[in-house]
Parts: sequence; structure tokens; C-alpha cells
Amino acid sequence: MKSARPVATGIRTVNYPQIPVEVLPNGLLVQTIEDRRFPIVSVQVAFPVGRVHNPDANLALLQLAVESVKEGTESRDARTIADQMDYWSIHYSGELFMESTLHSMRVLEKHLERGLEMLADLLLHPVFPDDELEKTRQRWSSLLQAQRSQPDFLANERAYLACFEGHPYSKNTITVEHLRQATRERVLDSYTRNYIPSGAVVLFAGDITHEDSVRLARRFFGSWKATSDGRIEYSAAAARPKKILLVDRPSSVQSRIVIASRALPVADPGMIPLRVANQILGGSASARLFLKLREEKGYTYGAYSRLKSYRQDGLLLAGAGVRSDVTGQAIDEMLLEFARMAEGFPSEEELSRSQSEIIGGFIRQMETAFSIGALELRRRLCGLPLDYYRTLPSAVQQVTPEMVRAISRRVLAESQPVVVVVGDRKSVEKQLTHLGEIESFDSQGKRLSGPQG
Amino acid sequence: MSNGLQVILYRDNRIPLAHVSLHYRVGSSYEQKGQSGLAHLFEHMMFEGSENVAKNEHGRLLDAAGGSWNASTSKDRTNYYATVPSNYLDLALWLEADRMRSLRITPENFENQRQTVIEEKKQSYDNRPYGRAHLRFDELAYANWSYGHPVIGDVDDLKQLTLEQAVAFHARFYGPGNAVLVMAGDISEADALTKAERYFLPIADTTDRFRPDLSEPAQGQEKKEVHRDVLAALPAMMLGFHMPEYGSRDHYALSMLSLILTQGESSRLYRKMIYDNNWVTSVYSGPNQYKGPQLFTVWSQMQDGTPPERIQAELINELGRIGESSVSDEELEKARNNISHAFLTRLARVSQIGEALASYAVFLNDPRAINTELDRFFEIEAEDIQAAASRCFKAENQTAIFVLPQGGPR
Repeated sequence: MKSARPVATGIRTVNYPQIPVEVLPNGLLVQTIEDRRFPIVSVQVAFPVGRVHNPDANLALLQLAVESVKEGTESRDARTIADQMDYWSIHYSGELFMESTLHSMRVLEKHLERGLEMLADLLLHPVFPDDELEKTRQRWSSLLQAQRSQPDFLANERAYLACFEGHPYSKNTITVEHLRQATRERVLDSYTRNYIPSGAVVLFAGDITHEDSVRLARRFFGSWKATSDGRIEYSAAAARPKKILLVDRPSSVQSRIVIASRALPVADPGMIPLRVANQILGGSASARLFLKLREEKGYTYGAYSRLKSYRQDGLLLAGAGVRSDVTGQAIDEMLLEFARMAEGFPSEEELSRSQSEIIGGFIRQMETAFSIGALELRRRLCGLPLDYYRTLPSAVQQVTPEMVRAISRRVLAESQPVVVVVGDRKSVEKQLTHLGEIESFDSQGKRLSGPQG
Repeated sequence: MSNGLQVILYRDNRIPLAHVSLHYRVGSSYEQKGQSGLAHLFEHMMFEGSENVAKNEHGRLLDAAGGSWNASTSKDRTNYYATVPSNYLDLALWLEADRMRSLRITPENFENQRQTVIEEKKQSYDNRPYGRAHLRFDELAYANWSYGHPVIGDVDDLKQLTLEQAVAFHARFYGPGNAVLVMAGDISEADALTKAERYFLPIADTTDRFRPDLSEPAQGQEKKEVHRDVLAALPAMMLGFHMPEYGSRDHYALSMLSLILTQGESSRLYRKMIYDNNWVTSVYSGPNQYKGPQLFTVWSQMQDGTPPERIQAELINELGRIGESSVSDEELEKARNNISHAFLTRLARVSQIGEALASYAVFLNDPRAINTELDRFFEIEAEDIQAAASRCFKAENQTAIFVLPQGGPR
């Protein structure tokens, strides 16, 4: 039965809300996004401090500082904190990212004050007890061991090291030595030097008014004193040459491929055309990489690309897990798709679909106060303009085929992509020789002499 | 509807998004021996085109609408869903109806997707630490093949599946009489119902509404296997205990118990196994969320050098304590706080509400259970947990798999 595809009428849009701001005398910003449907409030305290700010390139210092605020304060020990959090169902997490730190707490509205009292205690009065730090170090040692069995981890680690060689962005992996050197004194010093109210944001989302948010923020965070900011400064990374890197993971039944190109800083005007270009290349199951590698060739379960953008720089990472015997062919196909992006224009259908994908994703993010809050925090911490999200849909709509090709040339062709393969070296290495000189490593990151066999 | 399609509507006009979800009452437990993996492979085939939709066009049209979409196959059901700007509601319904009515199954597409699924198995299981043990676990625990075999299927079976079997599978299971359609979000009830009738009512039902026999005989004695895993860096353990089906009183009691055992850093197992003794790096527990006979599972990754037998003995000892002395009032109150919190945060989006409604329709034959489910958890008292634990945590009811890094623990 032939049937005509229904045509949508009208346009559905959403407006990025006006989000009220109040600045407390200590420099802490208070923001609120109301959503009164459910009796739940989330409180996110965000700092413009991340892995790159670790003193002496010891990646364990801020990691332990962020994770261990819940392991003891001046008035509570770790056991009491865990008991009280679980009893009142205070869902807390502390996370350290490349350039930011986020302490999140979500709680039933009736327990909000208890939750805030607890969160403020963790952030203002942590003591980092030695015995608790030692437990965290031990957990991390095991985690480091387990991470090195994961192909995605190994591929990303190698891609960042190669693309940002020598720059703080390259350093993503804590080592046992970092843990050993992260004494209580150094963790405490790193914490107090970096986590100050000035420049931080506390964002309330959910069943609360802005008036109440400000009142509660004053009550629980008002006494937090601003101290001098001794944060590390850094600039853009230097360009790095093309490389072919192979991480030997014996007995792998697939190869994990990551092709990484240096991209753009988050506030670069080219980011919006680049987002569209990435969407066309590998942003969805309708994109070129997926259609070529999975639907046409049957090499893989999925092939995608994604953007990581930071204050000073960024990466485009294209990845797929492929059959070991087609590793070389799959890389060739991926690089061909990179070249196609740089050489030709996207079709009208590709361009408009990719624009709709980005705008549709934005509408879905407008659905909950929590996800709007995540956008707002990103906007603030990355220094994006006030109207960034308000104008995002129209800016995406204005991207032309010429803009997509120009940005693809810059990012995918001129920046010399790094190719990383994590797989069984003896079955993969010979498939890579046509790409150039191969540098090989074991899963511990040790350079291997080559070639093998 | 008169052709058997169950239609569920939920209106929330705050944001211009509509969620469309179609749940088919078919999963891997509906497969026949020798055809394992067909239900999941079939999920892939549903994106390969139908009479009015070309190969891969389904996703392309939804992407072009700014929608998000996907599908998944479990032991008990297969679901297909899309969240679209609400002016594309017709498109989402038309796409689902077209492939329900006229899926195009060609030898080329079938072969391509067979290969894709074999790669999916490698990526999701064979190339991951503990992946093969995860696949083996149900096989060892369940005597009934229906739940025992993995959703992804056996590669030898996958290689032998035929086009004819796929065509027959569609006719038998992919009809309106075997499906639940949910429309949630920025809709009006009357308009949504009219649209459902326009697209789905012309489809004749060819399904036989087959339901598999999921009955599971009493186990009788402990089962245990030790696996060597070349990809694993640390040893791990999976334990499973047979328990009643989803929606039973024991299901709610043991779900509450899992919060007491492993939810949060004050939970019993976290505190003993991780905080106090550093024997393991992680520990999780809970019912496996199958519609029929379930397993209460405990998963733990261990620290290097801790003998797995020691960990197993400690875990069994902790589980046994529940049957002897139950749980405290404080633990119960804590579990209630946690379940309310979790339940509410899972309903923040229309897509989440839509999927929950469809799941309750398939699992409990009652979408309105969304309004009473929290009460089922709140009705659980300490004695219910104690009684359920006594029935469940018995040695003869237990299945264990130890995974050791190849070459043995260092």
C-alpha cells in the first residue's frame, strides 16, 4: 500500500529562559531554574578549576581533593557523612573535569536544608584525614589497573598525549607515582588554593524560587571567605605532527580505532560550523562514518565522531571498533571521509538534517531544569556570551555549505590527524604500514621496539 | 483498537516534544532453539526499510526532524522509540506503522545486519573484560533455555538464521495485537487517538499472541564455574539466587533489600567489603528485572590478591544475616527515601514517562501501575524482607561465576 510521508507544518521552538543571578559579597554567583513539577531540588556548585590546574603536573592532587571532601570535615567523620547522606537520600557527587569541577547534590525538597548544610560543610570545612586518603589512593590504584584493560581508555589516552604533547591538556592519566606523592598537606594546599567562592557558581534547579535560593545560599555559603587565587595559567597548545600509534592489547578480537584532529576552543566563532560539520561526518547513525563503515561495509557495530572543546583548544575524535582483519581498510575509509568533508560540499539534505539534529538536541535539553542548568554552567565556566544559547538555534540555521567545507579543511585536513589503534599488534601492525611510521606501545604506556613479526 | 493494538496517551504540553514508543511483546525468551539472537537481529532489520521507507531512511527522517530515536531488545520485549518536535508526531507514527505493516527483508540487508550483530557481540562482550562471563551467567543459572540463552545469540545460530525465519518472525510477532503504542508529551488526546487510528487501524493482525513457558524448576544444588579472562585486570564474582517474577511481593521486598545492601556508602556491603576491609573495588546487587522468574544478582570486582572464596563466604554470610535478623527501622526508612527519590527523578522527561508507561503495560499488564508502584515499595515491612531473604538466599539456590585474570591472581 503506497502511502505518502506526512509533512510537518509549523515550527517548534523553545526559548532559553532568563536565569536570575545574584552575586554574594564573597563573589559566589547564585542562579536558579525553577521547575515545580516534582518535589526535588538539585544544587550544583561549579568551579572554573580542572585537571589542568594540578600543581606540578601531579594529576592525583585535585582528583583526591575533589573526591575526598566527603571523607571528613571538622565536625563529621566519613562514616557519619555517609550515614547521613544515605538516610536523607542526599545524592552527592564530586567530579573533576579538564577545566572545571562540579559538586552536585540532589535531594527531596523536604530535605533540602539538611542537604545544603551537608554540602556547605563538605566544601567549606574538609580535613582530608590521612587514613581516608590512603583508602582513596588504594581504590585509585585498582582503578588504574582496571582502566588499562579497556580499549576506549587506552585509545583516548594515547590520542590526547599525541595531540597535545607537552601541554596540560595532554595529561589525563593519574599514575601510581602521582598517588604516592599526593600527601595530605599537598592535597589540602591544592584544595584551598583552587576552590574559592570568587568565580564559582551555585545553581539551584527544581522545586524552589530564586528568592529562596539566594536566602539559602547566603545562609550556608555566605561565611565562605575568598582567599587569594593561586591558580595555574596556561595558553593554547602548539601544533603537533601527524602520527600513527599502535597500542598492543594481545588477544583483542576487535581493533579500537580513534582518529583525532586538533579542533577549536569552545568560544571560537568557528565552533558552530564545526558542530554542523561533525554532525555530517559522524554525529549520528545517519552520518557518513556510520553509513560507510557499518551499513555499507559491515566492519563495525558503530562509527561516530565527537567534539571535545576546551577554553584554549579542542579535539575532533572519530572512532569505531572494527574486525581486526579490516583494521587498515577501516582507517582508509575513515580518512577518505575526512578528505571528502574537506574537499566537497555537503548535500542540502545532509546540511539541513545536521542542523535539525543540533537544534532538536537543544530542545530536548530545555526539557528539565537540571539539563538547562548544565548548559548554563557550561556557558558561564567557558566564558560564552550571555545570549549564546538564546541565539544558538538561529546561528546553527545560518551555517552554509561553504562554511562547512572551510571549517572541515581547517580541522580535518590541515591539522594532520593522529591515528590510534588499540588491538592485537601481531594481527594488525602489517595493515598499518602504508599509513606511515608506526609507534607502538604496550597497555602500560611503555614504548615497544618494532616492528613485530 | 479493534486490531488489538493497545494505545496509551500521556499529555504534558510544557515543551513542544512528543515521545512515540512501540513495545512489541517479543524478546529473546520467545525464540526457538537453534534460532538464538533472532529477536535482536530482527530489531536491526526494522531499520532496513519498508514499502514506503528506504533502507536507513527511518533514522534519517527522524534525525532531519531533530528527533532522537533508538531501539532495544531484552529477554521479554523489544522497543522502538523516538522523541520528536511535536509537529512531527505524524511522521513518527507513519514510520512505525509502515514497518509494522510492510517491512522489506532482503538477502543483502539480512546479511549486512547479521555481520553487524556479530561485530556488536565482539564489541559489547568478547572484547571487554568479564564480557563472556556475563553472557554465560544466565546460561548457567537458568535451567529453562528461554531465559538461559543470551539476547545477542550464539554466533553459530546467527550464521545459520535464514531469511524465511526472519519473515515468519515478523508475521508472528510484529502485528498490532502484540504491541503497545505510547504517545506522550505535547499532544491532545483526541488528536493523538485519531492519528493512531489513521496509521495503525488499517494493519491486519497476523500475530498468534504466543507467550513462552518461562517456568523455572527449583535448582536443587549450588552451581559454580571459574573462568579465566585474558582481558581482565582484576578478579570478579557474580552471584545469582532464583527469586519470583517482576511485580511479586518478593520483587519489591528484595528490591528494597538491594538498596540496603549496596546503595550508598553506608550500605551494608559497601561498608564491609569496601570501606572497612578494602576487599573489593565495587559491589552491586538487585533483581535482574525480568518479567518472569528472576535472579537476585550480586556483582563484585575484587582487589588483587583477595581470595574469591573468601569474598564469596563473606557475601553469603551478609545475605544470611538478613534472613536471621532482618533489617532495622532506620535502614527501611533510608530505603524508602531512596526509592522515592529515584522514582521521581526517573520521570522528569516525557520520554521517561512514556517508556515507563509502556513497560508497566508489558510487564504488569497495567500502565496505571505508574501511579501505584511507589506504594508497592512503601508497603514492604522488615518482616517481608526477612521472609523473602530466607526463601532466596539458600546455598542450593545459588549460582556463582568467578572470573580470574588469565594466569591467576597476581
